[in-house]
Amino acid sequence: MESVSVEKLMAQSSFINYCFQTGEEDMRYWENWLREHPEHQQVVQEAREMVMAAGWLSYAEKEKPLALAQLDEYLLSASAPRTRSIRWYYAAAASLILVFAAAWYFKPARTAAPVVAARSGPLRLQYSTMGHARQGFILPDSSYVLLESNTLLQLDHSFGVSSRSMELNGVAYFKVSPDQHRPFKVRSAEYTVTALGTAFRMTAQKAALHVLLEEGKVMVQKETAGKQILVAYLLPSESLLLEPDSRKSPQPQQFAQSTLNAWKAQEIIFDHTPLSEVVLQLEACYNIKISVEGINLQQEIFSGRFKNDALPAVLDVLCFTLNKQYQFADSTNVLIK
Amino acid sequence: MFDERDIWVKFCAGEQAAFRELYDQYYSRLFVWGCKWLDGDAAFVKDHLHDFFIYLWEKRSNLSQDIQVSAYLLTAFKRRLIEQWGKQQKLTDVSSMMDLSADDNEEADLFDTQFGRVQAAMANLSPAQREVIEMRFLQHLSLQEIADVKNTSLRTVYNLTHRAISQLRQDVGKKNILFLW
Repeated sequence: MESVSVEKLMAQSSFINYCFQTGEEDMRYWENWLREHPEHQQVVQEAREMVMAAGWLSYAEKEKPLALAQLDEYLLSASAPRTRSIRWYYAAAASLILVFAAAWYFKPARTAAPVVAARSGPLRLQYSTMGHARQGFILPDSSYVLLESNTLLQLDHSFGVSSRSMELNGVAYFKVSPDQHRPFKVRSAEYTVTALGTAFRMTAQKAALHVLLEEGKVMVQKETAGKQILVAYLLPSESLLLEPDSRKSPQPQQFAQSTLNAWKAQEIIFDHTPLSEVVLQLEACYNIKISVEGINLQQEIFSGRFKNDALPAVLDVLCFTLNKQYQFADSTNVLIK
Repeated sequence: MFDERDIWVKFCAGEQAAFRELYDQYYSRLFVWGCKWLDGDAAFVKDHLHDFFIYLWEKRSNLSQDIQVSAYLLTAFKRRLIEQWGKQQKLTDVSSMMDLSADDNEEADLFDTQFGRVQAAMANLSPAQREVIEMRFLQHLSLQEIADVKNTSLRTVYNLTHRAISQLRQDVGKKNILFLW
């Protein structure tokens, strides 16, 4: 080595191995070299510190999103007991505003109905929570979608014909109704997420995409030069984060299902919602199956607002207002009668 | 604009948003700081960094509001980390690991300045440069392995790495690097 510089040292993989103590042979080599060239002690030290700093910082920034998610989970669980005392007021308020209505009173076009974009050309159904709180919707194929506030979901005009395609801007949780012949596809910029019998949450914001898979399987594709390139398949409890100028190839990460469950239960709002939809939404948000006996689901509507409430608290309010009882057949099956 | 004093007062008052902000702002800094003291035992640092934040949050009502936030966090985390590391290693005396002669605040201030420079330098790299730096320094891949992963020539990877490293070095400033930990 005719001259020694930080750059030259750093460009050698044996030197990197020496810094991170990953290769015994390389470590021995550089230790010996340093003994023979004590005059280069300082430049070696400098290069080593540079390598370590950059490496640790990269590590930290890789871990940070997960750590923040862990913090959010902690904050959610820590704040839940404190709202317990308030919950009674919610319960009382919710039961007061519950409305029973006969079928003739209930009109199909509710306030929660999707807005049909009034444009020339093919009609596009659109669901929006711009400027207001999160809201659940049932799509025409009876899939359930929960839109976080300030989210826009636009169905393609061909929705339901040969496929079920739509475009998302914001945060949405989907519980997809099974249909083998019409794949369920959600697009955001150049990415397409295809659900294969599935429940998942997707965030499409500022060109970044984040997918959390609850059950089933999804395929994530990226359009490059008119072609769909496979990015990843996700399995349950895996998440994938895609950023526009990502420095590395995206890898699925594990996440705690409890995080997603907490997010779903953060705020559930029913506003003159038919009981059939209430049941679907609660099933999706709490991962349960609800059977109802002795009530016509289409004839009754319900209004109420729940914040971070546990399932029994929600069922208490619902059953109180319906004048019914609920029981758990097992941990995931509830019977209301 | 991040006003650390304001955030700290709100944190002590129990505001969750302030907690999140503090965590967000100090995560990487404390992570690198911890690795420096534990000679790169990143997994240990990672676990205890989260615990440290939770510990602070639970003790928030006892914390002084009038402090140098960064110096306080660095010093507190260092002590706690080394103590716990000692416990895990069953060391009876960890005082040798804490350089008692050094002034805690001065040490923390110096680190703060230097960390700020490294962070800015890393942020200045292009995505491609950053990717090779990560592959080299985090995944410990060789230039040939990077070339294989990126499906490109060794020469291209060499040039890219060289440029990335030069820029990193230039941005941090040669002088300052010498005194980095």
